[in-house]
Amino acid sequence: MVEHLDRTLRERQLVTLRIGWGVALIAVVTFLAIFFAWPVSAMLLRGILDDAGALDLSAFGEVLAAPRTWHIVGHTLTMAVLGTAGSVVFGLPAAYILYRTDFPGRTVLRSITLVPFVLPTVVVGVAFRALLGSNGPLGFLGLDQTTGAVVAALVFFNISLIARQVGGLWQMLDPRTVEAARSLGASRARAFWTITRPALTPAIGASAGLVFLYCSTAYSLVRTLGSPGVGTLETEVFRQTQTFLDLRTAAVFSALQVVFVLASVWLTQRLSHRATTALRLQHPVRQPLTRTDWFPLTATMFAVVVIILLPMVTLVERSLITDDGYGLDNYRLLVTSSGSGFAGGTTAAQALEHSLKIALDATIITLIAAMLISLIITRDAKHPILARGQRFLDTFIMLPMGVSSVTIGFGFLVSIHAVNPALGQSGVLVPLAQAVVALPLVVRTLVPVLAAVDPKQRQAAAVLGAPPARVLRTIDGPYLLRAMGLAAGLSFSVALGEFGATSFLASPDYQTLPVYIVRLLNRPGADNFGMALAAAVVLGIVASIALLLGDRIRPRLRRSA
Amino acid sequence: MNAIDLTNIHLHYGTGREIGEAVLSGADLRVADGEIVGLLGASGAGKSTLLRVIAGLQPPSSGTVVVAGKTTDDDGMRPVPPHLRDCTMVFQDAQLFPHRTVAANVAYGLEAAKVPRAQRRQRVTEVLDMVQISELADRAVTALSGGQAQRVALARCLVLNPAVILFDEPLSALDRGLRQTLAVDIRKLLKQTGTSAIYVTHDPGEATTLADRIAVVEDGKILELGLVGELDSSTLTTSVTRLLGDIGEVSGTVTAVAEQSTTIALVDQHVVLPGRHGSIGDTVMVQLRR
Repeated sequence: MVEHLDRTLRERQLVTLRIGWGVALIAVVTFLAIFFAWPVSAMLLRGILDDAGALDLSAFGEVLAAPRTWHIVGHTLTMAVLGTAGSVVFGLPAAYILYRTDFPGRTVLRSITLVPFVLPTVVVGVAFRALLGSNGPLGFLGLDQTTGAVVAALVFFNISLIARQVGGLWQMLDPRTVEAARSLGASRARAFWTITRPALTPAIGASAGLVFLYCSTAYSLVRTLGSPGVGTLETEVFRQTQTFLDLRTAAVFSALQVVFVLASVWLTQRLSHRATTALRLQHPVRQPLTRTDWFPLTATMFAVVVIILLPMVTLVERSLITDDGYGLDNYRLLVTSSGSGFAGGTTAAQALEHSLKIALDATIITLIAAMLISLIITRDAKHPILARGQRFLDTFIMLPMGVSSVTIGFGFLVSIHAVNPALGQSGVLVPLAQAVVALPLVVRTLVPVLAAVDPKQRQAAAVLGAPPARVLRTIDGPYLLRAMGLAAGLSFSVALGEFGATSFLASPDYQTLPVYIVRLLNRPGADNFGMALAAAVVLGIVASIALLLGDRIRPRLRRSA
Repeated sequence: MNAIDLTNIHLHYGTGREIGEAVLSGADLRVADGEIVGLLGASGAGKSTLLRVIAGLQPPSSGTVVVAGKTTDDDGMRPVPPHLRDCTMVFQDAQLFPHRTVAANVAYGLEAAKVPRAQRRQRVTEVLDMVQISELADRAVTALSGGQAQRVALARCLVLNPAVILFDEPLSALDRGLRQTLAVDIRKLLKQTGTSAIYVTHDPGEATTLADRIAVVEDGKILELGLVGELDSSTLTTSVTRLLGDIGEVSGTVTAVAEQSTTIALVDQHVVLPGRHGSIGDTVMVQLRR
């Protein structure tokens, strides 16, 4: 066997390794401190300190005393509750039909429900404008730019989430438990209510909590759909910042938003931890459709066809409408500056180019940060303090997901941008903010992959003579690389569609496509609307391609001797 | 020089003031050069833990571990990390690297030792041939049967010429027939290469087939039962006898077949059975009853 290294060399190797991890840890902590902790705390401080830096809660008092504030809170809550309820009402039958039964066409239906996971929110917002607008196929409902439209779009986004999470569990429930209940005299409905429902409750609670969180932070959707009514906490932050230039009031609303989010996170945790009964799980079971399934089937078909498919089809169809029939006129306008929507010296094509460049930068930043963070989180820390640090990082990294992108964009504005306006104008903050938004999602895709590596694999490598650095490279490396394609696609598509933080930070002469689309929607004129539709189609296609390509790219990793 | 020298190994879980349950409490074990020790014990007795301590995957609470003449623990210095110890391990579930082919799995340790490519290839070919799976060299490890996987795991260790190989119930997931064949093969390979080994198993038949000497882990200590050829069941305590339940079973290879008798080579012994049984080279199981 190999000659053993002498002690000093061994010590040196160990020291080098520790320095390596130390540097990685410092890099990650610095990144999160500057680009997440500082912006958020600067935002909060802005609300409770006066200009001299002394504690002054008068801004809070004023805001909380205004009846308008409570209208906004109420409106935000109403939208979120209705969005969640709608998602559950359609999501549960879909969970049953798509995951528990089997019939020709089930896979097609199921792939359609994946669409909302892929599309940027701005695209969906535009699609609902096309669907519900006065000329749209459902224009007669009079829902355009109403709270109802926002709720419908929220349901569009979250049906699939409920169906996937609940369906994933439902398909694994042992059918014999229900059969036992039936043989003991329970009717079909009774067996569902007494056996299946209790088994699904934790999953329903957890996914509904998550949906509620998404619904209460659906800024870009609300903006795209015309901020109906008094708006939400998030649109109010934007209004106070951009229209009234009142950063203190904006900070108070932003703080309220954070409280709102924390409350829903807490609620979700409570719901998902409660009553996780011992379930009999087994391999997925599918049963053929029966006559009695007509009700869930109808609900699912309605959800898939009317709520998900129709807006998509309408968006594409309307984008092709010209003054005389169908054509590519709207798409041609995207590359020229001739439309009346030509704004700020930028064409839609240029905005797309900016978007792609910024998304690429954001993806690189996200991947580096996410890779380091997930490696740190998944190490087998021996020292209890290190292990506690790992758990803290693991929780902390999820915070940007809860803190809405509006808070991040606004926080950047009152921290980094305020200290160094030149840096803000240079445009580097946009990809950084997008990276902070994408980071939790990407870390969440990488961590399970690394955590799935059996620690014994690393031990096997070590007893075969591999030093720690080689173990990292040869055992974790290949797994990490495998997940890298998906991570890259995900962060690219999130950054590309990011609207909340970007709307605060993008300078007028360097707009991204989502910001450009929302501007077009807010301008009068049929050609502007047509351009917005065409631009939304382009954005949707590019974002989906990025995600699907990322999912496909799995480097070939089979090593031979 | 002994291949392994364990002196007074203690191990308990928990740290600081909260001393948890003791797994090992004063375990001593010596394995001579080229010797194979079979280690038996009830499940949870600490057999696998002992192997992990020797391999350096888990530090003992106290005690001295010497592997191939090098003190690895309790010499007042940092313990020698697993990759610098002259011992390798065959895991219960093989733990092959799924993203590497069979040959690349076997080459793994040689790469870590920075053996030049040409030499590496040659060694891998040799060892794969030795464990009789040369035709699987370019196969993905995910496509292997359980027995094949353990052959690869063994090859992966043998290729490094380690002083000691630690076996952690490598055959427990295999069916009985395969277990007997492999046990006989493993012994042959270890003897051929002069490698020392500790073989942890809960199957007494496997231990007596494979090992030169048997020891039992009981109450955190190691009880030496002596050479397989000199086992005397009348001297054993009740708990050990229960543990050794079917120790009268042993697998061996048929070395001669005559009209009236069949000769079978067991561990350093030959047994002659009446009548014809199989043909030369077959692995068979012999059961002795009092």
